[in-house]
Amino acid sequence: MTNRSTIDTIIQGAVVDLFHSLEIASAPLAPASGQALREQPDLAAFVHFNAAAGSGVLCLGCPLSVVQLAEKASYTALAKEDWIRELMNQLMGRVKKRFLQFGVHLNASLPSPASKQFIDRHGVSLHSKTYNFRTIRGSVVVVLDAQIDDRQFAYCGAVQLRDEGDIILF
Amino acid sequence: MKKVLIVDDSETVRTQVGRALIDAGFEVVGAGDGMEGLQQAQKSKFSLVLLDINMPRMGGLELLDRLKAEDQTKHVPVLVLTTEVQESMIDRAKKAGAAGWIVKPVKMALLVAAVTKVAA
Repeated sequence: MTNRSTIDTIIQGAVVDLFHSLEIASAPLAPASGQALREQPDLAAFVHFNAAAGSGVLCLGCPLSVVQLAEKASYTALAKEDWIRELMNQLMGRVKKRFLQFGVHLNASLPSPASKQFIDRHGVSLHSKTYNFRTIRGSVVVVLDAQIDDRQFAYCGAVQLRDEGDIILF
Repeated sequence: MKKVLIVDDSETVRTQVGRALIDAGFEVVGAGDGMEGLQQAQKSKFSLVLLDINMPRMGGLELLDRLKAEDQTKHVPVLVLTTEVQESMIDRAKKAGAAGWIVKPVKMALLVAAVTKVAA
């Protein structure tokens, strides 16, 4: 991947928005390439994706302390493995939407739980990038292990896309 | 009491949406994929079906087609609750007979208001 700044912006923007929807503020740190994780997440999930521009894996992990923040915001005890998979699903939805603005249509698998070994293996891969986000109760990590041909990126600017939370009654 | 079928492979979504609807006076039944959702819809009468798009075994668009193809379920309003935002997919659901499209995550009060408005 060479168009790092665009992809970095997509991933970081999607994660910050996602956690904002959970009433959790998150601050992106500088991305790192092909490095072992600084902290092992307690919970993690991943999706495989592909597009004409390339394919890869997106992993999301967070500590239990962040789950507790989400529980506080939703006033409910969460089934943690299911929750991280749903969060991965919502993150992928946001990433897909942002890629669509560059004319890139991503197809994604259903989210699956990721082991520590899985996320570690993708973290040190040749084509991977690790994004860390600081929250008030620990760090969220996202690993993007992908080969994406950025020459197929074309900003479509005015593409009208639905927003999270939109309700369209026909 | 109006009965809503929530079809979503996420237990988290079924629980959170279900709790909000129960608090608003609905009876709620959950299903973890399209196949289970179809079986539930055939088994009892619902005022509304709320379904996700991306699910194992049978996805939401296939479930929508199956519901609209059967006499017993074709008049039940269907709302789609998903992270997908592509207009082509929204048009496909509209043409298949869905009553609406809701993009996750959504504020529960707004979702309950939409369900209340659409439920038969």
